[in-house]
Amino acid sequence: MKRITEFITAHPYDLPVRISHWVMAFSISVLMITGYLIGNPPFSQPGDASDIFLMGTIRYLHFVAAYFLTAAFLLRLYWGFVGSRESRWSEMLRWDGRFWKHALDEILALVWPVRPWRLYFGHFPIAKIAYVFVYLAVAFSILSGFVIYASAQYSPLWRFVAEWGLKPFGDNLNWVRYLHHWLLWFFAVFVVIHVYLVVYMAVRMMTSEVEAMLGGYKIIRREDLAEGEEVESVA
Amino acid sequence: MSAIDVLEKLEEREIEELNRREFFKFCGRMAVLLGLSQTAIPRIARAVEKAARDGRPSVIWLNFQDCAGNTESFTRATAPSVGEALLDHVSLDYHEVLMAAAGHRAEERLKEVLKEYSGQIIVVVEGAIPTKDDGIYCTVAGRTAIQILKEIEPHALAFVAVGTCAAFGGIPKANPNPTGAVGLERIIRSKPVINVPGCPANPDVIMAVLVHYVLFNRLPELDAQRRPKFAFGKKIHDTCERRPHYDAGQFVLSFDDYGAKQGYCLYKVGCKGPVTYNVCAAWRWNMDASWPVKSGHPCLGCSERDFWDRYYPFYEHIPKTGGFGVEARADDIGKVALGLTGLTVGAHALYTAVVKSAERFAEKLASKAEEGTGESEGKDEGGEA
Repeated sequence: MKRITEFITAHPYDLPVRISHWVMAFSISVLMITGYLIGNPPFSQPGDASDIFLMGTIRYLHFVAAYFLTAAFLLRLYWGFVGSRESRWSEMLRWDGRFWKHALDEILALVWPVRPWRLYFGHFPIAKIAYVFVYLAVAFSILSGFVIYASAQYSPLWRFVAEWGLKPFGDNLNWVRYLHHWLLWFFAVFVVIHVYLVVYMAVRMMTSEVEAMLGGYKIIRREDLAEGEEVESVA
Repeated sequence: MSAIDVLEKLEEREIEELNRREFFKFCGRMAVLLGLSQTAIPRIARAVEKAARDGRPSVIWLNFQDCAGNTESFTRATAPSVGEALLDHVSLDYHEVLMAAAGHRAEERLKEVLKEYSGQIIVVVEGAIPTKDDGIYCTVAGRTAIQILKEIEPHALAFVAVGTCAAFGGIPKANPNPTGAVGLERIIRSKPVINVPGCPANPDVIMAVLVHYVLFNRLPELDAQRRPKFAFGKKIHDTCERRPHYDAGQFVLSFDDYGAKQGYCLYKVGCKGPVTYNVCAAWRWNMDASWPVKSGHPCLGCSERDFWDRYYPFYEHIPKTGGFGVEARADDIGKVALGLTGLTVGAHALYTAVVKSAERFAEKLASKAEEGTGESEGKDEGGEA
């Protein structure tokens, strides 16, 4: 006997969330590559310095990408207070008993793949935990990055940022640079895990979060939903 | 002028007529350093002359946990030569290294000065101040550094902390800081403290702080770390003559390579210029002769807080990360972490594939054994195989 499979079309991610996600994804990629090159320039070429602006160009790209990241982060931050259910910080940080049960289910399904892998309306439980740390890391990279940036700017406003922004770091600019440098590896490790789990889910469950993050919609089989997860179908 | 001459002059305390040309050279230098226009030069000259004529500001120079390197630096102030500075522009009434008096006579002189010039003394402090065990790790004439400072504090107009030790604790404060050394700003609460960090501090900056007071009758504008803005407003990297090579991406990779001969940027051999505020690149040392980066050595960041701990290693520009057995570089640890993550997800993908194949294989076997509907379509993932 064939069973009837019910499909739900969910719309978890608003346009601002999608925009901020892809702007962040692209700008963090640029920032990681240029940041690594600024920290460890692998080149040194002969020639007249007046003809070449390689390091300057890399730094320029880093700063431009940093402004994009800041804009996307501020958009996301704001949208977390006014946006749809799934984009709210209150939802993101709702770590109650059911949440932890779902998180445990997800870990067990990863450790022992015979167990069922459950789907959710929006973010996965472990992803929610990870994203909170990612947003903290983005916030810290923006703050520390602008303190370093301000140290080379000489308008009164930037001087204010450079002088007082340094206080939380013990008035030590090299220490800011050191911590800022570490973020590269945090994001590198995160990107690997993040992309892996997205691909993993797409292969295992035949539905993709990438679609949801691109177009906003994802199609879920009702029987795959986690216990107690409510989804409003839009189609 | 040699130090012996200085001492002789101090002993005689004779006030000499300054060489006019040298005097204006000095005034010009100070105008440049303080960021004033050319028209300020006569004003500086008049103010300094006036100060020299009637009531020069009294200066007391105290040495605590130091190497006297800032005194060395001060005696190399380019223009005016140190003798002129001591005798004409400011009255250096007490300086343990330079003064002729010694022992009880010196301490008496200090007491006299405190009484005579109370409220208008600029106290220059060199060296960190130990606080552990009641500060017994630095005593002068049987009194600790803290006691001496507390005694002088009510009589002082302002304090100038010269050198990184006096300003931020410097090398005595370096980990593990056995004497509990701190910078002057942690001791002096009721009077302004001006930090002139550097190892040693630039002599012309020390002079300019004093001249600023003589000229405007107030102390120079300070930044959030109490450093005079005229000298510590810009980073070395942003005033460096090698900067175009940085922007071009031309680096010295080792101290004997082609780039080193060409004068390329010292970033990759650990230059801390990008994170160090000081005046070196613009103001240089030893009669404008040179400064570290010009002579091919990376900046150590000596004028920055905790440079001995946080700006180390000197020949790599990112600090080491402790706690990994050996002092590893952030990038090495990061690459290993990234590699391990890659291996983990790869292994997990493989593992899942194997388990899932086995599951499907078992399902097939089961369905064959049952001889039922054949294909088990849409089977629940959670169903037992």
